Order: sequence, then structure tokens, then C-alpha cells
Amino acid sequence: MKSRITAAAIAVVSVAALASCSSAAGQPTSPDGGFQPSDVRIVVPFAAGGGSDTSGRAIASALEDTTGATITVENREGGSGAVGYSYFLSQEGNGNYLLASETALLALPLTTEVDFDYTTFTPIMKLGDDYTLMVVPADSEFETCTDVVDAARSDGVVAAVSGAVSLDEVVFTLIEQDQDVEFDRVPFEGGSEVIAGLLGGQVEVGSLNPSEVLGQLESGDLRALCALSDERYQYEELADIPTAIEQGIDVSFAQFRGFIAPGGITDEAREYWIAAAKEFAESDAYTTYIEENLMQANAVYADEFVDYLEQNSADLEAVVGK
Amino acid sequence: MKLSPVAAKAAFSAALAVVGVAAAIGGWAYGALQENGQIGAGFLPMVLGVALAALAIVDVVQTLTGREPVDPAEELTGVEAEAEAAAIDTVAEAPDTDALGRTQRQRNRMFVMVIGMLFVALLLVPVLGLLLSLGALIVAISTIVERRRILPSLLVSVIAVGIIHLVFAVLLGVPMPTGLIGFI
Amino acid sequence: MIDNLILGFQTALTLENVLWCFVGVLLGTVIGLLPGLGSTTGVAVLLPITFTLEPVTALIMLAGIYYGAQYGGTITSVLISTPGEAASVVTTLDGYQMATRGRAGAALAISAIGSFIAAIISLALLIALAPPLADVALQFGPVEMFAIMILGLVIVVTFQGGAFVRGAMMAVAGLLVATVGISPGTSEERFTFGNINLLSGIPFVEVMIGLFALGEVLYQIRMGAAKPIRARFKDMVITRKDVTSSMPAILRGSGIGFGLGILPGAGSTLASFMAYGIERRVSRNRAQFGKGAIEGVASPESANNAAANANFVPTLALGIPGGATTAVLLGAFTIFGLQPGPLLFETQPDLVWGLLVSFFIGNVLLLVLNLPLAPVFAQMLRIPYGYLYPIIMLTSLVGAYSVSNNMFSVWLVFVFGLLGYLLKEFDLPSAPFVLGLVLGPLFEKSLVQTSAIGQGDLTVVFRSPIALTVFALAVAAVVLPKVVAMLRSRRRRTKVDAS
Repeated sequence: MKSRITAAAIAVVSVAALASCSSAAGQPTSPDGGFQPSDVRIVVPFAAGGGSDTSGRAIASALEDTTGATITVENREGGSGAVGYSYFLSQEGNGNYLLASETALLALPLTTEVDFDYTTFTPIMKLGDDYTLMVVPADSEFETCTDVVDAARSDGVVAAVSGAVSLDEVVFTLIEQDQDVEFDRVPFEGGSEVIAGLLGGQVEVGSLNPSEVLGQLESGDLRALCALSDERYQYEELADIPTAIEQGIDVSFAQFRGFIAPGGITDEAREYWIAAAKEFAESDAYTTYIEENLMQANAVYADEFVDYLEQNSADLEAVVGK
Repeated sequence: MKLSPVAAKAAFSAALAVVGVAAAIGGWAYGALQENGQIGAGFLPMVLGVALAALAIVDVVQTLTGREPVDPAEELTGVEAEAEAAAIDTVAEAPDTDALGRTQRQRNRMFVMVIGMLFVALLLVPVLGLLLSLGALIVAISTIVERRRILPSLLVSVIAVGIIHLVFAVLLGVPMPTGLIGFI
Repeated sequence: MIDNLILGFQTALTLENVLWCFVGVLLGTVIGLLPGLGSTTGVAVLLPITFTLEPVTALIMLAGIYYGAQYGGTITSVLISTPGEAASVVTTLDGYQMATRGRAGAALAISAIGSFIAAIISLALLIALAPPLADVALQFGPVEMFAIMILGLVIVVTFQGGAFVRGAMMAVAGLLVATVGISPGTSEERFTFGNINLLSGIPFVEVMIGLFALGEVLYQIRMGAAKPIRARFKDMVITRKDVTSSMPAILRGSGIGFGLGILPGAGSTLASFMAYGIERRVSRNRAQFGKGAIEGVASPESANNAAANANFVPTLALGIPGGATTAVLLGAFTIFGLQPGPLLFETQPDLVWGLLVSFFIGNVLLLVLNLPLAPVFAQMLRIPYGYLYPIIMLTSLVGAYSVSNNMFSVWLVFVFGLLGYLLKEFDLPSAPFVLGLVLGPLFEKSLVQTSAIGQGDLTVVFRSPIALTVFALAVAAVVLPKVVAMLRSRRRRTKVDAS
């Protein structure tokens, strides 16, 4: 009996000791007390190969160059991102973890029962904005976005959307609210399905990121009517596309891409990552990433990023909040 | 509780019928149609739940009345149907002792032990980590269930875990849960 | 056309490219051997390795990984009844039976041969017909896809040996399990019980590992150790008779696979199931299906390979990925700074044709590598099961974990392992369950889309000629065998009367 208690006590003590060891090992500090990253992980809350994964990997390799630390990408997909963000929640206080974030950070708390919102984490950097283009098949009768709105008012227009909190759903809802019309929606999953639906004539209009649709625009199979952005694109291929605002529809909405750190990290760690992010924004890798994905370069950091999230979250709530 | 094979089979299908009914009720609660008359979130669960319950009840009846359903492929050839039925009989009734001379009772005990050990091993993952916990499972199964000597079992376990660690953790960079020990 | 082909061979047949293709096939096979890692994950995890290479070389290597991983999954399907991906689930039905009869080597060889022939046929069709076929594929909108799903489910349910009711019951159960998670269209949470891991539904890879790998282990323990398979080398090697008798199955499988593969999203799973279902009806050797018929391996294996190639029709001609793996490959295109889309054929001809030819080279390498290796792999079955099964448990549980780096996956395997054992114990088929689970989300999506297109009126399906034709095929699949059987028995009776 006695020996069993002793054994249990030893077990408890050793487990506790191991636990303290491993948590101490998780947060190394450099001799001068500043933050020095080691074995950094960047969580991508979506599957390998998608847009979030691409941006996660771009961030990882760029930060590797600027910080000299080894950065590994961890795909933790599931639940439209909920699984990855919730896992990130469990890394609270760990300055060696980052997450490649996007609009799901704002959409999930508004629509599903999750234990986090953007204030739970430490936003570090917004890389840029990805707006959408309103596109139609080449042989469509529509010439401008105003045509589409007019047709929606009189005969009805079948629009493709990809899910209740997707970027295109938000865009169409904003147009509806602005113009007081209603679209008939057919739900799809992801941009390539919407393109197939447009080419096959099952839907009349779609709203897609430029990078998703550039191939079809260049081949002439699809036409872009307007850009749902504040200003025209600078890219040569897209510069001719007028904005919706020019056509009298006061709508612009972007998806952001960026990265965040867990909540409760030390100020040193936060400052460290902000400095690294600023260095990243100066690099060629950053320009290449933005250009290859036809995004609008619009880097903001830390508190400014938080302000942006607050504003964007309010916009989103006006659309999806019931 | 002892069930005859037929009764156990019927009980399983009956359980599926209950699942079907539950799903149908759940589907009904989610709403089969949206306000605009389009298919809602509950439509498919409701339809499938009803279908599952109906099919499962038919299966229960067929099982209890001993009507072995006929294979449509066999309908075409006809002749082989009996051979097939005979083959099923021999598979369903396992021989009393296997190639290693274990009786059915021994094997039932092994079966329960393996499931129990696996369950315990998975519960231990947060402490030992995934690889160590499953490595311990290999040793436990080989020595306790399969009654092999400890040294070869340890060797097999260490080699298997080593290779898996190398492939998954080192080569593919899978972040393994290392537990409180934090070793591999 | 010929010029393009020559250009393709010139691009692909450099020593460097062939070498990397070989490395890709080899790595892919190893990845595919690990439970849970199929071709999609294989391509995704090995993608970073290719970043340092030239775009053409990288894509050729990725194609090699793709084929290798598919074949690796076939090896585990046959040897330990653990499919690497949904497309090789049906291969386990006869492949594993062949293995238990000492013919694993022949099963592995015929799937390599079948895949190779399917690759040549589909490559020829792809090169000759890609752009027009892409236009055909576009005609298959939500309404038509809804009809195709129904046809697929009908064929699979009716092919199940023994029991129509049980097959249907399991397919419905699979579809029902697929409704867990966020609903398509309305985005509501269903049957998640507040667990965020269930939001995206129950993932089929974990279910497959549980039902097949762990379920089979548990069943074997309960049934007792069989005598170790004492296969003579003669039985391990494929014979000329095996090949000739499988030929019709391979050709039909290639046709079905290619036809379904060009439709975006339908993919190779449905193709392999349908090919097997049809073969079970029309093969001369149909009575042996489910008991180790070599045609039952040849048919789904050629179908899924043909479908995998046909997947590239929408991918290359339209820039729309035809399946999960081609989606990852398209992602790779953008990483290499290539814009996928209809213009790819014109702007990057060397790349496109080089890639197409590399499919061919990949398959040749696969055949060369695996024909001699098949009997060697099959030797694994000589290991006593008592040593083998703990290792199978280890690799499948770790494999499951690596799918999404989540312990939840491991617990799912545990639960579905128990279920898999029960299904075997009660003689319920698990293949229709997996198909239901895989098709479930696509089926519901096309149903919701059809309803949205008809604004609540589902009869829009009767306004599509394509959908009507497909429905007619589904009805024929149910009715025709019964009619034929009736006619035959009547003829037999009249013969008896006459004599």
C-alpha cells in the first residue's frame, strides 16, 4: 500500500517536472532578455495547395530569410478553418507560433459557435487585399454591372455564390443592399466550380478573385464587367476594368490575407514579429507574392491591422448577422 | 448477455433503424425546405433517415425469417448460386481452433484485450506522445496477447516506431503530439 | 498534332526529366504505401521538393508522384485490405481475396498492366479530343451531375453480392453520415453536437482506414490465425491467361473511367465503383467476383487510372481542376508562375505536351518498376499475422493522424474500426458505405443547386435531355438484369419442356 502511494507520488512529481521542462523549452529567451524565435511553426487552417496554403508558405519562406529561424508550415484543416484557429487558441502565449490568416478569422465568430474572435489573438501583419471582379460568359448580353442590376430588378439574374459567408456572397449582398434588388443564388464550392457554371451556362454572373479567373479572361471565354474595389487595378491586364463605383454601385469589399500570433505573447515577441514583418514587406518575395496573386499591396501592422479588422468585422456583420 | 448470431445481426440492423429515425427527426428539426421553397438543410437527413429505417426494418425481417436474399448477378447464371451459398456457410462458421491451436474462447478474449489496450494507448497519447504510446501498444500486444518473448517484441516495436518516426516526422514534417515527455 | 506529340517527347525525354520522373514514381509509391496518404496528400506533401526544379521537370516529377502514390495505395489494398484512397476501395474486394489465396503477385501485376493500358488509351483520347471533350463536360451542370450520382449509387447498390437491401442500406447510411457538418447552400451546422472537428464533416480517409485496416485486423483476431499463405512462386507471377481474360475488363474499365473522369468533380472514385459494378454484371467470370476474380482487380484499377488522366481534360483545356489531385497540381502551376486556363495549350505548348507525354513515361516506369517487384511485395504476406497486425495498427493510426495533424482523426479510426469489425461480423458490405460517404457531399450539393436553379421546383431535371438519358440508364440498370434473368429461365423451361 505504502509503496503504491510512493510510486504514485513519484509519478506525479516526474510528470510535473517533465511538464515544466517542456513548457520552459517552448519559450527560449536570448541572453539579453529579448525574444529569439526557435523552431517556429506557421499554422495554415486550410488544406495544402489552396490560397491560404500558398500565402502561408510565402510568409514562411520570407520570414525564414529575414529571421534566420527554421519555419515549418503546419496544415490543420477542417470546419472551414475553425479547427486550425481553435488549435491556435491552445498555443496561447507561445511566441513561436504564427497563423496564416484570412477572412475566416472574422466570418467564423459571426456564423458559428467558436471560442475565438480577432481580439483573442495578436494580429501582426496584413499583407494585402484581394478584391473580386464581376464576370459573365463571353456571349452574355450584359456590358456593365449596371446592366446586371437592372436585369435583376426586372427579370431576375442567376448569380453563383460559394457559401453563406464567402466573399462573393458578401459582395452580392452588399450590391443588393445598395441597389435594393435581389439575385437568385445558386450555391457552388470555390472559384473553379463557379467558372465551370458560368462557362456551361448554368449561372449568369459570378464574382471571382482576379487570380482565379485571369486565364479565362485572357482567353476571352469570360468577360469582367466591373471590379468591386475602391480603385482600378494597376496591373496591365486588369487596368481597363472599371470599378463598380464608377458605374454607380457603391460597393467594394476585399478579402484580406495576413498573419497573426497567439494571444498573450510577450511584448518582446510581438515587437520582434512586427519588425520581421516590416522587413518582409520590403523584400522582393513580398512583391512577387502580391503580383502573382494579383492582389492590392496594402500592408498594415499591429494596431492598424486591429483597426482594420474591427471595421471589416462590422461590415461583415451587417451582411451575415441575422 | 448472450445473443445467437441471427439475433445479434437483427439487433444491429434494428439499431441502424433507430439511427435512421433519429436522423429523420433531426432533419425535420433542421427544416426540410427553406422559406423560398428550396431544399433546406434538413431535407437530405430526413429522406435518408426514413430510407435507412425502412431498409433496416426489411433487413431485420429478412434476417429473422431466414430468407437469404438472392444476388442479382447470380440470378443471371443461376447455376453457381448454390456453390455461393455453400461458400458463405463455411466462412460464417469459423473452425473451433485456428492454425495456432487457439480456441474460439481464447480468441474472443484476445479480441477484447486488443480493443481495450488500443483504447488505453490512445488515452495515454497526451502523456506519452503518439509514437511512444503506440510503440508500447505493440510491445503489450506481442507479449501479453500473442505471448511472444519480450526481447524480440521490444526489437520489433523499436524498429517499427523508428521507421515511422523517420518517415512521418523527419521526412514529411508531420508535427507529432509528443505528450508531456516531449521526446518523439 | 504529330508535331505537338514530337515536341512533347522532346521535352519529356531528356535524361534529367526521366530521372526525376523515376524519383517521383518511387517516392510516390512509398507515400502511397502509408495508410491515409493517397495521391492528393502525396502530391501536396512532396510539392515543396519540386520548387527547386525547372517548371517542366517539376510537373513531370509531380505526375510521377501522382501515379506512384496511386499504385502504392493499390499495393496496400491488395496486401492488407487498406485502400490508400477512395478510388481503390473496390480493389480491396477482389484484390484482398486474391491475396488470401496466394495470388497477390498476380493482382498487383494486373493492376499495373491495366493501369498502363488505360493510360495509353486515355492519353490518346486526351491528345486527340481534349478541347471538344471539355465542351461536352461543361454541358454537365448541377442538374446533370445529380442524375449521374443517382446512376452511380444505383449501380453500386445493385452490384453488391448477396443482398440488394443490405447494399442499399449501407449506401444510405454512408450518405447519411456525409450530412454531418456544415450544410451546402444554407451553411447550417448539422449533427455536430458542438464539436468543431465535425464542422467539415466526417472525413472519409479516416473512415476508410478504420473500416478496412483496423476492422480487418480485429476481424482476423476474432476469426483466428489462418495458416500462413504458402504461395508457390508460380502462383505469384501473372500468367498469360490472366492477362487475356482480364483484357475485356481493362478495356471496359478504361472507357468508363475516361467518360466519368472528364466530368469536373465526379472523379475516379465513382469511375472505379461503376466499372466494377458493370463488370460484375457482364464479365464471363462474374460468378467469381468477390471471391478473388482477377477481372475484379483489373477493371476498377484501369478505370481509376483512366479517370485520373481524363481529369486533365477540364484541367488543361478549361483551367478547372477535375479532381482533388489535379487541383493541387493546378496550384503548383501558379507557384511556377504559370497561369492555368484555356490558353495554356497555346502559350505553353512545350509544357502541356511535355506533361501529357510524361504521364505516358510515368506509366511505363511504373510498369517496369512494379512488374518484377509485385511478387516481392507479395512476400510481405509471409510474415506471420501475429507480428504483422500490431505494425498495421501503428502505421494506420499514425497515417490517420498525419491527414490533418489532429488526434480526433485517430479516435475516428478507432470508432470506425469497431464499426468495420461489426459490419464484417454481420455480413454487411462496407464498400457502398464508403461510396455513400464520398458521394454524399457532391450529391447534396447538386441536389441543392438543382433546387436553386428550379427555384424550388425539382422537376427541372426532366427538362435536361442529358439528365433524362442518365436516368433511363439508371432504370435500365435495375430492370434489365431482371428481364434477362426472366427470359433465360423461360427459355430454359421451354428447353426442358421440349426434351
